[in-house]
Amino acid sequence: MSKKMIVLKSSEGVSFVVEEAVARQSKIISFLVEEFPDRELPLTNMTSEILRKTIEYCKKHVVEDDGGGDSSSSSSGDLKEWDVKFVAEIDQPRLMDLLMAANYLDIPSLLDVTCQKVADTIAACNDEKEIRATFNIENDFTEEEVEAIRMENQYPI
Amino acid sequence: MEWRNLPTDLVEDILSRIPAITLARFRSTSKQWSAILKSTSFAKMHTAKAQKREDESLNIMLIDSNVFQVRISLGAPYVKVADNPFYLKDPLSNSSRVGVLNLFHCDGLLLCTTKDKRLVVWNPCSGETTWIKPRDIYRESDYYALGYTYDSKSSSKQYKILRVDRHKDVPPNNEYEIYDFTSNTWRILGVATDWFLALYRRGISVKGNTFWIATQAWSPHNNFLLSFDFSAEMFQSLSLPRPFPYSILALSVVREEQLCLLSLTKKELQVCVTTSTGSWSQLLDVTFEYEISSSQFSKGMSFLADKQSKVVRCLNSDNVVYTVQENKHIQVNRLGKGKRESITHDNFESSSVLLNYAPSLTQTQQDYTCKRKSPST
Repeated sequence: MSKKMIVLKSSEGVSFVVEEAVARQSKIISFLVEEFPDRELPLTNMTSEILRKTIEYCKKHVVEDDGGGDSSSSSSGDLKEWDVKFVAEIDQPRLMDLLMAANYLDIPSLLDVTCQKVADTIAACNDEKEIRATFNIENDFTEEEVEAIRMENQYPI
Repeated sequence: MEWRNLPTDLVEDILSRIPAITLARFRSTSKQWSAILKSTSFAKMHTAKAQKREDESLNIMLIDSNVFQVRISLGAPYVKVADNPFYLKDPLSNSSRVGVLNLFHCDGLLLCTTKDKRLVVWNPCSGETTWIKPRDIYRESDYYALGYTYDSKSSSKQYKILRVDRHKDVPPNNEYEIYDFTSNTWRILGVATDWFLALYRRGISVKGNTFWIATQAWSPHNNFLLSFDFSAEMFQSLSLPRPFPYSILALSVVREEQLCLLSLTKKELQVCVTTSTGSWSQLLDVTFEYEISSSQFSKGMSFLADKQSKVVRCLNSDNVVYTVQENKHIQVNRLGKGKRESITHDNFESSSVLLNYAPSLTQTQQDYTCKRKSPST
């Protein structure tokens, strides 16, 4: 019996044909394929690049019902290691895109690893300036406000 | 994808994964971050996640009226004190730092008596303070402890302050009262007449309740373990490890949950910890080759015990840290201004305290930020 396939279309109109079980890691897709018999889902706010990455993650994490496929054979330890490597290879702006994609498609495990990676990146920053530069966050404080906060917080270690 | 497009709940999720002490450094990143780090809902979320994180603890020290972060590396018995202290802001003046006389740690919050005779609950991580008004006046002989009761319905902690007014009467006449953060009032609980609590004894908080070494009011004036249960609002007496022919010096806590007791004879130092069954087990027993002077391991000193490496670090009232290991070697670190002068201009003398600190963004009450109390004078 052939596996059920569905088509995910990126914002550039590129079609990705994936097994339904893979796509169902996304709670929102899981819901859509049950409600709509249509086998093509346009994802207008996801670029091909991010969609490809998301599918790569889902393929690795798919647990097949029949228990036969080789993708389900990874142990949880191996999978964790794979996740760490997966997010480590993504640059900062794309990591944020992937985090948003995980949020939008409602893939809890991908959201967890991307949030953790962002948190680790923040924790590794030396000061708020480095955070602002890394994540392109606007400094909306006045000089006086910054000074007042700094006076309260002197953490030299 | 820009950071500013991230929904707030995602920003909160990300930030709640970062240790409190690291977050405190980043409060000035943006107004959004500053607001999140101050919010009660975020503090709750952060605490819930912190329980899953491992080993989030550090050490802090009170020396020369200031509170410092301290780094102690296990490998090298060396104590590194931060260059700048935590900043306890005076609500009466924007530019001055309040001097701390003594402190009590519970759950990431520091209950401090200040040099200007005020009482404040301070979270050095979030910078939040709650100044507590006395029922009448604060006295030098007062004993304070911060504790909590856990409400399983709302899964939140309710903090309370215990004040023991130690009259120097014989027989003892310890009036005690409790401060409730929901009503912001003191309530007199009673008078305890069966024990003395020496001025130098330090209370230690374990799982919300407080423990001290107290002395029986009657002969033969044995020492015993006194605890205050913040749920029942009652004192209890518990037994010490026996036989215990030592002078008991100090209490401490290991991993937030095990009470630790340090005792000394002229040549022997012993450290015991409570086990899960409530009995005591020995952590360290060191016999020195020479007699230890009482100025080294003085009354009122505080200490940290490391269960794994079996190392004990004591801070005495002259700001000297003694590191004692199983191999009997004593390492000495002199800190701060060193030996204090016997006569100061202040009425009170600041204590020296070394303690294990669990950083958190805990707040004392739900509507904490709106109800900041004005300081008493």
